[in-house]
Amino acid sequence: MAFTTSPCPDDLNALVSRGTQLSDLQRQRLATHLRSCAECAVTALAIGDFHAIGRPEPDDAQRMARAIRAALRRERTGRRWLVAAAASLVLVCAGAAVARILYHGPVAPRSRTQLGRAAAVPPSSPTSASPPPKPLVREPPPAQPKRHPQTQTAAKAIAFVPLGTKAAPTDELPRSHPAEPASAAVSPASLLRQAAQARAAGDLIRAIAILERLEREYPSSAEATAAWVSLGRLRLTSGALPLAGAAFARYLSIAPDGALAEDALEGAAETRQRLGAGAEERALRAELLRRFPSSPYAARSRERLRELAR
Amino acid sequence: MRWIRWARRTGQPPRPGKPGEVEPAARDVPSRAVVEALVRETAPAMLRVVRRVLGPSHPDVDDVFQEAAAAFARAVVRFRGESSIVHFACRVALLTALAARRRNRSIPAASSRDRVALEDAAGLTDAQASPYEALLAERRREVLRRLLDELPSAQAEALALHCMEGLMLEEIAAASGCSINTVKSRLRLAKRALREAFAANGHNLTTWTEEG
Repeated sequence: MAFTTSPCPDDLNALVSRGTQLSDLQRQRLATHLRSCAECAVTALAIGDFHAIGRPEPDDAQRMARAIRAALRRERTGRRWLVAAAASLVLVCAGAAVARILYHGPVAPRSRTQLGRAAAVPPSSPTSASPPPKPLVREPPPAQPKRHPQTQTAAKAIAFVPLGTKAAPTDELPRSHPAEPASAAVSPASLLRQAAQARAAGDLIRAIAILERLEREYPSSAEATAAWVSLGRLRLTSGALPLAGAAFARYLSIAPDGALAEDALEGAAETRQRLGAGAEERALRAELLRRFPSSPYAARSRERLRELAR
Repeated sequence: MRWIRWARRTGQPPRPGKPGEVEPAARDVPSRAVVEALVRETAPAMLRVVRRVLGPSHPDVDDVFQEAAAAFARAVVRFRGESSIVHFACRVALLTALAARRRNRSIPAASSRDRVALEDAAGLTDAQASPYEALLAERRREVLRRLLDELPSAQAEALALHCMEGLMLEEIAAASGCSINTVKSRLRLAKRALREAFAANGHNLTTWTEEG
């Protein structure tokens, strides 16, 4: 090894062990150092001791060939085991999924597709609060509507808190009107149709009661999801502001990206406006503009934001 | 077969950028045949390291060497040419052997260890040394091996590469992937521990002569 500077005693020791011929100056320097440094002296001894052993033995060639074969086989086997373990894991997971489907039947979680079908229900207009009925196929209601964690966060973020009052939990809305008598043949679609007819007839109380029944009896149906916006709009019209806010918040918690999300945001913002909660209204309108910049409610929201800024 | 050419260039660390020198590319993963060739080429050095760490007559030499060869075959795909391939293989063998020693620390009994030391001293040391000097040398080797079991891993690695393989500071730094100052610091602490271990075992340091 070529040195740009003179080697340290450690390197001189190593060079000696390799049989390198040191120059007279280097040898003298090393000897002087080793006489005064016990640690380097023992190291030099140890280097010399180990340099004397480890020489090749006569049967090394066969020994190495045998060990190398085994080592390479072991290395390849290890890699195969890794692949086999990964494949086994995939098979076990697939088997578990199949077994689950066979035993419990296909799970019907609230999917994007279903929410999209909810969007097929015409939304209530911001000016006229009458959802036109649309026949939809009834679906078996799962035990509990499944919520996405982000959904819950979003719901919490816009949870309706009426000013000066204690908010009712959105899961258990107080029933402001008596429920309709139960009928075995009533489907969510027909309930929605009845509510639209009552609304068209100007009977807001009856329309609200029908929609509340829909929410109570078919909580996981697509119609029920869409009906939260209609219900909120009806409650807003009837002056039940805290309940209206709760209904809009419920829709946004179930379907934050649903087709009626901008209607729900607008309804929630309007509710805050009428309650005089400026900060909450500002946040909701900003959110509406951020997510739906070309919404029909955008112009109104911008105007309200300007008013609130003054 | 750039890897083979690279493997044959042993004994000095690479100097990137030197004209005419072929460095393995960063993504140049060697094939199975190349790995086998590299293992065969570096096997003598690895076997020597294993023998020095465990002792030439240790019954686990073959097993540990096989383990080291397998570890080298796995590790060589990550070799980036910071050191020579032989030093890289030596380090893999050293770490494997040190781990095996620490794993089986309770196995060798004092009496059998002494017998092995005597046999080693009788058969494998320098022919010019007297039997007494050969025995002393084997005792010192055994002291150092036991010290390697007790030192922190980084210090044990630096001391073993320096004392057993005669690597210089720059080569140890390249093989271990650390700076020379770090190697100096580790080696200084390890050498102090070695001196204390020799003194505790009653070895006379005045046996060192200028001729080595």
